Amino acid sequence: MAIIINRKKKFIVATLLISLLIMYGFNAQAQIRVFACEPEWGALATELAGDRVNIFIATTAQQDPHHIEARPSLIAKMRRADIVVCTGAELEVGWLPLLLRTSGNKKVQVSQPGYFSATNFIETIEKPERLDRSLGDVHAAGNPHAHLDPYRLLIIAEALKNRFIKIDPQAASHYQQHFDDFKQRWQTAVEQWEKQASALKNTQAIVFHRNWAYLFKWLGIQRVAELEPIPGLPPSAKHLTKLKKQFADTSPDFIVYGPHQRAKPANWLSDQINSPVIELPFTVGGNKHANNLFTLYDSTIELLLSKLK
Amino acid sequence: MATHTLRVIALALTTSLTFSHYAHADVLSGPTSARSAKSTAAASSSNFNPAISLILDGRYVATDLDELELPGFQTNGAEAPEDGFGLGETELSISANIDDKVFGWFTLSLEEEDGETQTEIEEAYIESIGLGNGLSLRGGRFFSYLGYENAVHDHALDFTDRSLIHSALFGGNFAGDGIQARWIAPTDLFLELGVELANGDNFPGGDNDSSIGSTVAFARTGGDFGVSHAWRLGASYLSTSFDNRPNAEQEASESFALRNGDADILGVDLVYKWSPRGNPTQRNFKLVAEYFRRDENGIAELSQGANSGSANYDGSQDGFYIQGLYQWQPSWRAGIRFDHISSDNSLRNITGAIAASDFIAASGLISDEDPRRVTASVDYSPSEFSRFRLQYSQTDTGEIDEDTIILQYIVSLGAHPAHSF
Repeated sequence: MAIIINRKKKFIVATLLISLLIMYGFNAQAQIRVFACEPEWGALATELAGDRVNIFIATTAQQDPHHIEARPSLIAKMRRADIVVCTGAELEVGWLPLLLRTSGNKKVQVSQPGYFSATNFIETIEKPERLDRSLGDVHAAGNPHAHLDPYRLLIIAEALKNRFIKIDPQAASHYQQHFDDFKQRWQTAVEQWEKQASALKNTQAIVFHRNWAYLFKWLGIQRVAELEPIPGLPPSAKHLTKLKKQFADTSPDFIVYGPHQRAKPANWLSDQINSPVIELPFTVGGNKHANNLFTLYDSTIELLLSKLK
Repeated sequence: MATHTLRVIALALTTSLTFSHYAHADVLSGPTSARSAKSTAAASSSNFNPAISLILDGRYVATDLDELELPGFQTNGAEAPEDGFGLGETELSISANIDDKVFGWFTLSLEEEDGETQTEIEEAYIESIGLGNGLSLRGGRFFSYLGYENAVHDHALDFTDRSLIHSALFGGNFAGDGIQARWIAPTDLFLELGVELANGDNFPGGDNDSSIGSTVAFARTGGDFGVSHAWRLGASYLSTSFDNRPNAEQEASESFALRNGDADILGVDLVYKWSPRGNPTQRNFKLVAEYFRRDENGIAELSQGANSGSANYDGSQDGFYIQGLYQWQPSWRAGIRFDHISSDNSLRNITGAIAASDFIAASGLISDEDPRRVTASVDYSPSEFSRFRLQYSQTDTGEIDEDTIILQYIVSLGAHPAHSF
């Protein structure tokens, strides 16, 4: 009797082990799992990989990508990711290293091909000459919000395509085709955007935070002031009053803020100095038109042009 | 030559303390020349310099509370904030990836106790980096993952002091020298299982001969409800034993200790967070609740002058806290916390030259009182690196009923703090 039970037990254990192995095998065959830190990288991965990958986007346009916590749900997603696609340049310094460390996932660690940091492939702008926290939330590695420069975005797209090929070589031609197609559509679109936006050259804007630096540099828009007294700190009454005085006679063309920033300070200043307020989408999902990278740029330029006097 | 070296060291320290990142002030270039072969280790917290962070904590305390004596609980070194101006815990943390396999963390705490500066290695551990399959291993000295508050450093607490139940059961927080293994399940729902084996020298353990004096097991699960809500639920278990566990506070002519005993602790913890559309920068709410129960036994030994006595001790204590913190506008938070603990202990077979009633009174372990505390706070954080807090609490242990007001600053110099859940 005891022997029979023992056999039964052995059988059960063996079955369990085999089914686990099979499940593991299936898992290994399953789609590549992409962990995108921000919506723009999720959208780029979609352009480059189509439905060959399973994309999880860790943040929405309504969240400040700097102020994210290493939530349990994010740890669970990081645990199973095959590649993590993030901005870098310290934007995610508060949560990404922690997620990587707690995940126990080998593939996505900094030394692995499954770690893709977009700003590693481009030259960032606005690198501070002095690193002093009294100057606010300055990023030593430069301004991280590079996805709003279409040229830099294309460089990043190519690097990401190469990375996809590296981790999933069987589908090399799939990624290459998608990239070639994207590149062509993107370059055509950039030409069009530049034509459309020529009227924006040399306009002036007050911004909430410095997250439009690349966009403005590309379109020739001048940033004349920020609603934040220093980067990363909420707008103060004192600072807003100062701006009111400063721009009493010379209203800049726009006051710009993003979907994760407060409208109130922008609206208040707008009433005082008669500059129109624009909420730009900033990233994919930032407004109802911006549902991919192309419409993100379309919507951004349209909105700016619509408020131009 | 020596001066030069010193200068270099000073410069390196200043650089890492000022920002912990070293940056190249490259000349800006246009989009056409935007391609660059440069590769910075962006997600690691520094370029070879370890991330260094120094916590400064200063406070003004108005209280009549001398010590945190909790009837029904053995004194274990948990302290009440001291009256007047003073420093809290000054903490130096250094961490870095050691190579591609190992991460290292070190925390030194400096604290004034009875006019002397006490230095303590709070944590010093190494941890695997990306072992694979959701596994992580940690070895060295570390705060146990028991419950929620336990692994949180003092400066990151939501109130100035720890909850009563943590103070009563662990003397602050439970740490040990040992190893920890954690595994995260490959599921969309977060599920983490872990075990810790440690020396068990710290309260509620004590001096012991066993190489593994304490065992901890924990399980946690968590996730999101929509984009605005996040939660984590945990359960943990600690089993430890001691040959000798004396009172932390002994009177001159009297000493009390528990010997040859075991302590088992079971706990559950819940963390819930809300922020509109998942964006906590404007408004957010955090709720934490923990419940712990401890069952322990041992031989109680008391000596008063030349007399001594002993008894069989059987103890059962439990307690909980629940706290909520609401940020109603950027930088400003208000919090409230309720603490409640109670004990059901017995001392049997009291033998020796000390009368049973004296023995019981001196032990401090038999009490019908349920110590409780209400805490309210308001804090202002101009940036991620500084916080100013005003806290009021009323502690009612049954024997004493005291108010405490604390005005405190906590600042962090150096590396960017991690946004843990």
